[in-house]
Amino acid sequence: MPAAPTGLFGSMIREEILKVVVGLDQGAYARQIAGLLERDLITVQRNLRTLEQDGILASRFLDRVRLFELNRRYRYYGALRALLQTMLHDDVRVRGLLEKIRQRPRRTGKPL
Amino acid sequence: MLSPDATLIDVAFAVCTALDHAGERALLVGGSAATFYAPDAYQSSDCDFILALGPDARDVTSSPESVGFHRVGEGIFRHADLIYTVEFPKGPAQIGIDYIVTHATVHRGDEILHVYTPTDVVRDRLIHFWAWGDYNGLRVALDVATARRSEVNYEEIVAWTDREFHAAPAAYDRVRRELFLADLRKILD
Repeated sequence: MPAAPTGLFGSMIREEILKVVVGLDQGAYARQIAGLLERDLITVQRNLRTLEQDGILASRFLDRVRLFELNRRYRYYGALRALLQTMLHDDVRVRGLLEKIRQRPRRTGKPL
Repeated sequence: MLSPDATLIDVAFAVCTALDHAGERALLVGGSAATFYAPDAYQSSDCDFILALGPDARDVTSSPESVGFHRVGEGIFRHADLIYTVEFPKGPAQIGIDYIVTHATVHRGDEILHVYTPTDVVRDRLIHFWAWGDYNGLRVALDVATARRSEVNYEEIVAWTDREFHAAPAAYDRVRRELFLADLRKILD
């Protein structure tokens, strides 16, 4: 039986996490990514940590939430970002998941 | 009078017509304009009108009220039997750096609706993806282009993205623009 595809980044979940992170301009947090991808939170947290240790992702706190984004100081940041954007663009499933998250502004006072 | 099963498009026609009778030209913009062109693809729950000329929202109360809407906030109107709101964001109508000076006018029986052109709806939704990474905006822009492919002007959109990029390069993502334009080209070819 052939091995399951691991994708360019060593595992499919890592690839999906990176697509979500690049798709969410304001940064993404572990629980959000896990919920969106319907993946185990611990698994997502472990992969985020690995990607951060490798210098591909960077994180910061917003209030008490740790937000992850691509590391702008990563040597191949520009090329990696463009590659992931293109991969995300071609991934109908993950794109569809991101459509559920409103990233455009909403005027103050406008009813929800 | 609007029935309880009125759609967003029914509301848009009713309010725009009431305003028109009052001598006020109101332009349907934003997500509701996208719903007008691609109702199966996108359902907005609010009608956003920008007044082309004349008084601001504080002075237009009587027209929405004539079709059953009552004011609930600054420029916001609700109907007792409908989920849709009618809102009057401040003008002028603008997409990025472009002021909107032309629009479509659609007649339905005795009713009238002034609305963004399909090209402007595509631009308006695209900018949310281009500047903020809003993937819903991307989908709606492409859905409207699909629904109204013969009315969407590709060259106009490309020229506008060039102007936007020149005016504020830091605000926009180059890769997103290229990916969107490639998709749009495929739809319109």
